[in-house]
Amino acid sequence: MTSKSVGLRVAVVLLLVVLAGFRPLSCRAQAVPRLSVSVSPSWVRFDSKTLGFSGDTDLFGGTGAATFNVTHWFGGTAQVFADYGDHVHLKGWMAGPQFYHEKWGGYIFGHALFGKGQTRVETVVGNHQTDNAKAYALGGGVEFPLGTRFSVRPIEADYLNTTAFSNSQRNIRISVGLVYRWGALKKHVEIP
Amino acid sequence: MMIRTKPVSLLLMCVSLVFLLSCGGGGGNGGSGGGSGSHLAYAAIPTDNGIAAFRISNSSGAFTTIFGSPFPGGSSPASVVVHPGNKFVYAANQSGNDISLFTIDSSTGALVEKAPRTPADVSPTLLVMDSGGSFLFAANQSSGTISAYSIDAGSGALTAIPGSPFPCGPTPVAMALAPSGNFLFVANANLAGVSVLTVNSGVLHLVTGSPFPVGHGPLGLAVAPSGNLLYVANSFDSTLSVMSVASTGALSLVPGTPVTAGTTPVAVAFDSTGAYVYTANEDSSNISAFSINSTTGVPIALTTNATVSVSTNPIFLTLDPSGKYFLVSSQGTKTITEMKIDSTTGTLTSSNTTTTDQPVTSIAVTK
Repeated sequence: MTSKSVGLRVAVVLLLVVLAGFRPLSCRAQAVPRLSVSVSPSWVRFDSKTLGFSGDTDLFGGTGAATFNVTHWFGGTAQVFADYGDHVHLKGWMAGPQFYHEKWGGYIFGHALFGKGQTRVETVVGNHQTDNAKAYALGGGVEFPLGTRFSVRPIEADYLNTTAFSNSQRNIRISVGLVYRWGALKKHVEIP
Repeated sequence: MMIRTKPVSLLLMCVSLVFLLSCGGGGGNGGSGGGSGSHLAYAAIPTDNGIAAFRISNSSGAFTTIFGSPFPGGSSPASVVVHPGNKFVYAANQSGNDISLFTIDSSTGALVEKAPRTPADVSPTLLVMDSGGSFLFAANQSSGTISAYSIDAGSGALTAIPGSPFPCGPTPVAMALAPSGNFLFVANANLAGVSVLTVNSGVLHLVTGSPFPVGHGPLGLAVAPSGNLLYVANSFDSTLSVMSVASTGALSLVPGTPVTAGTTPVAVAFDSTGAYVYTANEDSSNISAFSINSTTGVPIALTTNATVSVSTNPIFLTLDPSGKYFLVSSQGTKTITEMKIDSTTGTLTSSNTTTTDQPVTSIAVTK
């Protein structure tokens, strides 16, 4: 494991500890924001066996996303991501619909994202190759508001499919995130 | 509404655990050259001046091309061997008159050549290594010699044995080392003979009487696991001879041989048990399969599937370390095919195939 990997792991754990220490504020928690941006440290289990490696490769990095919601249950999100590991770097962008379901004082979200991924592989020092090809992600997570402005995503998981060097990689991405929110789309509640 | 703090904290802790538990990965699950559940194969491609690399699944036998393959090497690498420690690959560069040393990246399977190359004699085309990985022998086809080297187990570096290169008779075209490492057998195609050299700490001496007569055009050699029989593929005669090896190394033809093989047998190999022997027949594009009389060593063609068709112009048979199949290189189709071995009957059936951009002349596999 490289020092970069160790550093990223420590950063992720520290962030989680900090977030766990937040004392949630009273709020209309289930309100989905009109607009939000998020940053999410991530871990990707990259399917490098398709490149002839002996096993999968751990990549560490992050995702930045911007989301615009049309209703309290539907919106669109776009994200850029970059993750790095020994011999393999992966970065790219994806966008697609995102759906919400209120639960546990927050909401569960799911999305289907499509875009491009760039895979850079260097098995021999100084001799790397790069391939750009389609990428898509199917996944979701949970999000809990911490106040009117911030939310936390304690977990987000995606099946991340990339294509590189004529092979399709079936990757798993796990991330945690911090969200900054603007506006609120409230569920219509009928008062008896 | 208040968010319940406990579930959130628990979730966070779970995610923390996931991250911390994943600490073992980072760049693939390395191990020895094979990694878990797979092993590596390296193939010499002279016309590419490179070494092709594949990962082979232990369970399915499926090939995956190693990223970056073929890896650049010397000038016209004709033969490759893998050190038993699975850390190093050596290639004999026929046009470069030298030997390349590569290190194996255990996680990616990639090869990196370590400079400088070690000089050989003229036109090294064959390599063999003793089972302990202490000595490497390179047959120099044009000069009729064997270059002998000791191997540094830590760095893989080669050091020429004093007196190297050693004469081995003209035009060495095939080479085999006895399992005990005490005799080196060299086929001299133009003499229709096999030269035998004693091996003593890497120092070679021709055995009196060398070259011993065999059939015409001997191009393939294999020593029986017992070490007392040598099987010779006679390409011009399309036969398989069996030679008895005396304690001095002298060879004598076993009665009842040679036996008929396919057309132009150029390689011979045993299965892992030593109960069956096979020849790769270049011009009939098939493999002949024989059981072995356990008393006399005479090959007996199998009663069923005595010959099995393969792709055009097979030129060698390399036994996979699992013992489950042979890797067969076909020059005409530029393919490497796995031939699955039925351990009960000795019959072969075609399994996975992979393609190279140019013909392969030699293949070596990690344990």
